[in-house]
Amino acid sequence: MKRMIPLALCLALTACGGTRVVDLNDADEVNAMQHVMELEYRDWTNTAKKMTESMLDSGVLKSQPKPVIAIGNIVNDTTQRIDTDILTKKIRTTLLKSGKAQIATNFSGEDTTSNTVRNLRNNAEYDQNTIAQTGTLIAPNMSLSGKMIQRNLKLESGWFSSVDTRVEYYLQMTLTDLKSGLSVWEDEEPIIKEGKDAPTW
Amino acid sequence: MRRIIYFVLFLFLCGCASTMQSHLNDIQNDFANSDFRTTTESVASEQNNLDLLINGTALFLDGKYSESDSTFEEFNKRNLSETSSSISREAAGLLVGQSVNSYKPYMMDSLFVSYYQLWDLLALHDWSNARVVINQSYKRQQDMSIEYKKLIEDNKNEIATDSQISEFINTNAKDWLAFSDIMNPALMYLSGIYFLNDGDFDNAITYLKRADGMMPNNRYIQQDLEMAQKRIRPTNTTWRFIETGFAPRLREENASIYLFNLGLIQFTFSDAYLMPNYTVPKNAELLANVDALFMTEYNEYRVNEILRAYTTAVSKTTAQALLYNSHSDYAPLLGIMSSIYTASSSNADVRTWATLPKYIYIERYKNNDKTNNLIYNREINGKIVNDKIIELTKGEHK
Repeated sequence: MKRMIPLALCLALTACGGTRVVDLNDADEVNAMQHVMELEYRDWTNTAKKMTESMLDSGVLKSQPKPVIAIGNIVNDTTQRIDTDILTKKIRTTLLKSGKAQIATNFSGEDTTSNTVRNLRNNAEYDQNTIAQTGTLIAPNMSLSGKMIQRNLKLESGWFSSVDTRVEYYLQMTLTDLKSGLSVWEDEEPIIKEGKDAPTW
Repeated sequence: MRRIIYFVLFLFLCGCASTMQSHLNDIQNDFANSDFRTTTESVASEQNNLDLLINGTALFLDGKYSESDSTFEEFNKRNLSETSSSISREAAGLLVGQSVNSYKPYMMDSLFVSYYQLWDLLALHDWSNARVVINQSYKRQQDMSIEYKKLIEDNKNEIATDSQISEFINTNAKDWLAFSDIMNPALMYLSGIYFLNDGDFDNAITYLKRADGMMPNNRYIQQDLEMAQKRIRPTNTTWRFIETGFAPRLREENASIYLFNLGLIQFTFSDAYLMPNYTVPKNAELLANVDALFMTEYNEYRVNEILRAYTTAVSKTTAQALLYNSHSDYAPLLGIMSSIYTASSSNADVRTWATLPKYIYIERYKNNDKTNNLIYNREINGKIVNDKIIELTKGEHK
């Protein structure tokens, strides 16, 4: 009995505390990550993957000879401060890697250097042959916009239940043909979580 | 000897309440002199709940919007379940005296945190996070509304159990022009203006209707609501928010009730008083009566506080009586210690977010700026201590 106590204590202590770096290349380790009520790594990764696949599979990018996409407004209609780049960066990276579309970074003001370079025209300090000529910027012909919605629902909860809330997230995206102004692709990815206390901050 | 101990203790306790009173007076004076940095210096090192609230306002008025937002965000993270504060507000304080506890925010405080955060983010042109703050505040108001109704019901039930305290509360009840719910019309209106300028008319209607419901005589809210219903975005319009005076403060009051078996039961509770000096701006209409907002909530806490202070006083007096009558050699000493404990742990909490305004007025007019503007004015003692203009355009800030 005396030997059992230190063993049990040792096991209990082993289970406590410490920082752990999750190996994102190890699927088991990622799956074993603790679940939270907020949107987290797995939600963003899965949503971005599904959204990109949906867009590519729709064949809509083939309708343009050279699709150039501008990243438009992603409305964050949740109660959490989220940098929407977490979602859009993964989508645009996959699109670029697929070679089926290009992303316009100058148009939305994301990249300001291409404008700065153009301001150096006629500046004697710079070799003018290395300065971008007029009429070289490419305008986007498509834009990607979206919205993140959060709904908190109270659930019936018993004395010993650790679940009292359902949080429903809806991540919606739209691809618009800028020439016609028409939506050419849309999709929605719901993420439903049940647990204790809806995330507010 | 016993009298001396009581006297020293009395002076000490007076000191507790008066030190806090004087601290809050100093802060109000700093605000009146536009000396917001002195306030920040005086509270930044403490960083308890009340300090965070006061510092957040001081930083906002000093134009340090990002720091102000972070300070309020820290407050939010520390007070995730502020709606369940009604009972916990009182319970812990009964053992050691209310003012020894960390400041438990009023529900109204949390709504003003959202209000000032919204101003911070609009000033930073952080359109995206401003929307998040509005969503958070909407959820807060829903939760608080439920909690507030529960508090009223609990108080009614508790009062009904003791006829003497019930009589005391009814005799000391105060009539206030109070709202029937926990809401902040200024926050609702500012949120409505945000959505109106964003072209999100459905949300604009929701928030403006709520503001209109609380302030049905305000013509400016009605004009904006009408535009939202017609789905028209206003142009060349300025909304000027004017905050004036200071919100109610609290002071310590003593009371006693005679009980047949225990004798005189003495207890302490806080009592609110209104701050004088405010200005009614020309062409402006009342948007939020903060006196009424505060009193709506405080009235219920006051009932709660009196009930608990009274119950604790009864149990402490009973314990004292038992010690005196225990026939132990140490009975007199234990009795004195018990009396000291009773006196030292019965002080009332007089802390409030003292920099909040008494009234918020709104003026709405056409401008020649070819843009829509928000103007924020803070007026104290007839002097504008802060004047800022925010252009209502979507920013790229992240």
